[in-house]
Amino acid sequence: MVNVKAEGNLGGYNNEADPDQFVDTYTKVRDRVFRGSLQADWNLDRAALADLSLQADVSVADKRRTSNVNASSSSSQAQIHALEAGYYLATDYDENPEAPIVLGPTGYWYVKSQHDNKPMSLQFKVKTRWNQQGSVINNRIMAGAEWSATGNNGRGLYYDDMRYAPTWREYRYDELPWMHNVALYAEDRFTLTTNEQGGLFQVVAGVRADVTHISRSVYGTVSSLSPRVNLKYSLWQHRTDSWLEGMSVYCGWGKSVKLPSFEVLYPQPSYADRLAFVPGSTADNRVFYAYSVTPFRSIANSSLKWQYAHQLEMGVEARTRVATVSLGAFFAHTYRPYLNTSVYTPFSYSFTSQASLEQDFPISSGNRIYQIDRQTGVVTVSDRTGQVSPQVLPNVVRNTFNANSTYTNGSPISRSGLDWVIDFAQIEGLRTSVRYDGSYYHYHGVEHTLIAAQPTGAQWMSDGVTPYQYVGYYQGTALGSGNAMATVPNGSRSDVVNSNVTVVTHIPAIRLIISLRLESTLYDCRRSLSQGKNGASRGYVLADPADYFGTPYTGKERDCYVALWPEYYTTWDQPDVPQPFAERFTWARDHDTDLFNELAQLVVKTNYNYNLNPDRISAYLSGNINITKEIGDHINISFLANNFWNSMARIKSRQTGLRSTIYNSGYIPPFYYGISMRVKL
Amino acid sequence: MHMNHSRYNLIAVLLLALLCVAVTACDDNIGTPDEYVTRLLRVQVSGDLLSKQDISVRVTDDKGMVFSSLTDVDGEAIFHVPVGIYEVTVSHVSLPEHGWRTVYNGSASNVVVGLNNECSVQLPLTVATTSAIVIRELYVGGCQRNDGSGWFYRDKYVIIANNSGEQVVLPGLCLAIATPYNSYGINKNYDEDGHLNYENEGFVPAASSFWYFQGDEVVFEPWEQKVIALNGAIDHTLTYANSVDLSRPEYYCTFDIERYNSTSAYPSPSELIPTSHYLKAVRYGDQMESAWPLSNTSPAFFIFTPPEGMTPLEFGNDASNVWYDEGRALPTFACRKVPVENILDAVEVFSTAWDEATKRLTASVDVGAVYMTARYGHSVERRIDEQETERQGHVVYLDTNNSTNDFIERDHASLKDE
Repeated sequence: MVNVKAEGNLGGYNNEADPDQFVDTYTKVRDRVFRGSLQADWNLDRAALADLSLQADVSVADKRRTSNVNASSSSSQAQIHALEAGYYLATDYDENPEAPIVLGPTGYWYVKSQHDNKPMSLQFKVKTRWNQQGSVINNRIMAGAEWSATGNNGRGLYYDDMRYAPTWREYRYDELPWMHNVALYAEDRFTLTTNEQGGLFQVVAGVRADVTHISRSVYGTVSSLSPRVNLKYSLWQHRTDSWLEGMSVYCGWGKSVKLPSFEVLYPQPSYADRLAFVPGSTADNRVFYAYSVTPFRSIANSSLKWQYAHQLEMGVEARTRVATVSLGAFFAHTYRPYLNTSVYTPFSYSFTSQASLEQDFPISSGNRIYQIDRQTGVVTVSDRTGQVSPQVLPNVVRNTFNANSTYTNGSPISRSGLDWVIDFAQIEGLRTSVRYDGSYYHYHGVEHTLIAAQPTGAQWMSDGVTPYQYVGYYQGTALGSGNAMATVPNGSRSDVVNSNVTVVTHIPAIRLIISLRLESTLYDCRRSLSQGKNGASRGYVLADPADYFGTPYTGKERDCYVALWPEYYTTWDQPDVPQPFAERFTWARDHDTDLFNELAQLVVKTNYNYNLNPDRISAYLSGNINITKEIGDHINISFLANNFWNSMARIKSRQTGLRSTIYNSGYIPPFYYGISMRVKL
Repeated sequence: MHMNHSRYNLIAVLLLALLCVAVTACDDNIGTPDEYVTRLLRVQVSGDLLSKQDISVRVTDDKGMVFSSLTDVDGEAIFHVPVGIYEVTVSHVSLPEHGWRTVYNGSASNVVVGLNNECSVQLPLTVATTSAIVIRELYVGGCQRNDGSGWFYRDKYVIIANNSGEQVVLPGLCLAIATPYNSYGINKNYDEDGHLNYENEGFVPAASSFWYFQGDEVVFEPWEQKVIALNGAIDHTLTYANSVDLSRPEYYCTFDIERYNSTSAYPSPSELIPTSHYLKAVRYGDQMESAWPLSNTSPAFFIFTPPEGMTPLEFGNDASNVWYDEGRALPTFACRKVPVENILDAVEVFSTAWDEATKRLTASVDVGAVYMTARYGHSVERRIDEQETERQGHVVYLDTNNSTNDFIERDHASLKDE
C-alpha cells in the first residue's frame, strides 16, 4: 500500500496599512510551509505477520521577516560588523561601505532589516515487524532505522543598506552545516502464556542507537546506545471464580542517553567589542570610535561525556469486583547533565582617549585622519594638509579577561515518584462510578562542580582604573538555567502530593452524563539548597545583609541572609595559581581596605532573607465539571467548566509567611467554560 | 538644608523678641530725643560660635534708620546712636567652608538708648548650617523629536550653583540618586507605619553608582554655576530642535566610558570640553547596567561631598558601607549610605503622570517634592529668593530644604534661553 501526502500553508502578516504605525514603518512576516510524505507498506509474510514499512518526509518553509523601523540620533554611533579579531576604526560609509565598523549617521533615518529563515528537513524511516505466534509463546521482533537531516537555506539576519545597519554580525544559516541524525532501533517482545485466565509472562527488550553528524563540528560524529528491559508477570487477568479477578506485577529498567544539542556541537560565534579609542565629538557630532573586537566560540571540551539517565520502574495492578487498584513507582537518576560554564582567559587591550588629543595637539580637528593599528591598537593621527608629521597617540593598556564558555558535566539529579489509581466499580443503583487517583513526586539535585565566575558586582579594582583582576571559583551553582553562575543555592528539592477524585453519573432517562473531577494538591514543598560535598556546610549565615562574615550555614536556619564565598580565586597575573580566599579576605578585613573591598565583590548573597527557607504551599483544590447530553443518535452537546467555582481561595507560603490568592497563580487551571456540539454521521 | 534648624531659629527669634521687651530697657528716662547727641550702645553676641569676630550687627530705630557694625574679637559691636528705641538684629552668614556656611541669627527689640547712660545688650545667637552649593536646575525629562516619532531623553543636564558671593572650595562633589529610581510604583523601603526605614538612620542611599568631579577639590567662584551634561555633552539641537546645546567648553559632563561603555547613552563629549571636566563614575551596583539609572520622569537627585578623610572613590569603593534597596542583597540593589550631613542639596521630583508618589529623600534633606511632566522639554528649577536677591544685589536661589516651595516646573529648559 502506498500513501502519498502533500500539504502546504501560504500565510503571513503585514502591518504596513496599520494607521497606528509610524509613517513608513512596518513588519512583514511570511509563513509558507510545504510538507510532503510518502509511505509504503508491504506485507512480506502473511503467516508470520511480517511487514515492512518505508516512510519519507520532506518539509520546507519560508519564514522571512522584513521590518522597517524609524531611528534617529544626535550622535554618530559605531556600527560594528567586524567578524575577525583586531582593532578597527569607525569609517565613513562613503569612504568604505564594506568597513568592519561603519560610522553611523546623525539625524533621522529608517533601518530595513530582513530575517531570511528557510528551515528544511528530510526524514527517511524504515521499519519492519515480524511476529511469531504460537499457542503458548508469542515473539514479536521490531527493528527500524531513521535518518533525518535538518538545515536552513536562509541567509539569516541582514540589512539592505549597510549605511544604516546597526551593530550586528552576519550569521548565514545557509552556510551552516546540516545536522544529520541516524537512529537504529530493535525490540523483542517475548510473551509466554502461563494459564488460560490471562496469565502471562512478558519480556520486552530493546536497544536504540543514535548517531549525530555535523560536518566541521569539533566534536566530530557523536553516537549513543540506549538499552531497556521490561518484565511483566500477570498471574491471571480475568478469573471469575475468585474475589481477585486479575493480578499483575511489572518492572523495568532503561538507560537513555542525551546527545548534545546543535548549539553545543556547533556553537554560534559571539563577539566582545571593547572601546579602544574615544576622541571627542566634532562640531557635527561625529566620533571616530575604535573598538577591539574579539570573536568567541564556546570552547569544545574534549572530555565532555554524554548525559544519560537510568530509569527504574515497578508496579502492581489488581482487579477485584469492588475496584481496580494499581500502584506504580519510578526512580530516575540523571548523570552528567550538561552544564554551561565560564572560562576566563587573561586579555590585554589598548585604550586611547580624548586626553591624548589635548594640550595643543598640533593637528586641528578638521584636518585629522585617524588610523589604528589592527594588531596593537595604537592610534596615529595624520594631517590632511600634510604640514604636520603623523602623531602617535599615547595609550594605556587595560588588563582584563575574556569570558568564554564551555560545556562540562554536572552532578547527578534524582527524581522518583509513586502513582496510584483506585477505580471503583460502578454503583449499579446510582449508575455512578468513582475513581480516585494520586501521585507523589520527589526531586533532588545538588550541583558540586567547581565553577569559575565574576559576579555581576565585580568589575573594577580599588584604584578605579584597573579592570577587575580576580576570578572566583565556587562550589556548585543554582540549577535550572543550565548556565553556571555564582549563586548561593546550588540545588533544590521538592515534594508534591496530588490527589484527585472523579465521579461519573449516567442518567439514562434523560440521556445525560455528568462527570465531576476534583483535583487537589495536598502537599507541595519546594526548597532551594546550599549544601557542600558529603554534608559539609556551604555558605555563611549573616546577622545583617550588609555583612560578609557569619556563621556556617547548616540548612537548619530560617529567615536569614546567606553569603557564599568562593573556594579560592585566581588573579590576572597568575591565572593558574589558586589563592586562598577565606584566608586573604579575613586578613584584608583588618589590614588592607583596598583588598577587602576588592575581594568583597566575590561574595554573593541571597536576594532575600527567606530564599533558603522551605516553601510549603498550603493545600489547594479545584474542580472541573463536564455535562454531556445526547440528542437523537447523532448529536452530543457537552458543557464543560474548568475550575468551575473559580476558586479565590488564599494559599499560604511558608517561605515568606505571606498569604496570597490562588486566583491567576498558575497553581490551578484558570476558570474556563464552554459548550461544544458533536454531530456523528 | 536642615529644615529643623530653620524652624528652631524662628521659634528662638520669637522667644527672644518677647524676652527683650522686658529686659532690654537700659534706661527708663528717655527724655527729649536729641538727634545730635549720641550715646554708646554695646551689643555683645553669645552662643555656640566658631568665631565671634566680624559678625555684622544691625541696629534699626523706629524710623527705619540703620546702623551697622562688626563685632570685635570678643564679640562686641559698638555703636554711637542717638537716643531712641532700637531693634538689634544679627543675620550673619559665614564664609563657606567645604561648601557649608554657618548662619547666625538673633534679634532684640525695644532696646532703649536713654540720655543718661550707655546701653549694653546681650544678644544670644542661634546657629544653623546651610549649603552654599545648590541644585539650580534639573532637566531630565527629554523633549519631542522633530518628526513626531516620540521623545528624546539623552540630553539631560543639571546646573549646580554657588548661591553665595564667596568662593567655595569643596573637598569633592558627587552626584547621586536615591531609590527607587522613579517616584511612582511601590516603594518597598517604607515600614508598616508609613515611614522610610532609613528616615532616622542619618543617611540617604545612593543607588547603583555615583559621579564625582576629578581632582582633590572642586572650586566654585562667587555665584558660579556649573552646567553638567548627564548623558551627551554635545549639541543635540542639530538633530532635535527642542533639545539643548550641551557642547560648550565651560560645561561639565558625566562621562566615564570605561565604566559606562554605552556610547548611545554616553556619546563622546564635544572636543571643546576639556577632559578635566569629565565626571568619573564609581560603580558598586550591578555592572550589567549600561547607563546610570537616572529617572527620565522623577528622580530623587542629590549632591554630596565625601565624608571627611575619604576621596569620592574611596567612599564609593567602601564595601562595608552598603545598604540594600528593598532589603535585597544583590549587587543590583546595592547602595552606599551617604551621611545626611554630607548632602549639600537635594531635589525630590514627582511625576505628574502618576497619581501616587512616594518620597525617597528624608525630611532632613528635602521635606517636599516638585512635580514634573516628562517628554516635553520641561525642567525643574529653583525659585529666586526675592528678598535676598534684593539685599545682595545678585540672583539668590531659595533654599529652605523643601522642594515644594523651593522649586518650580519650567515649560522649557533654561539653557534654551541662552
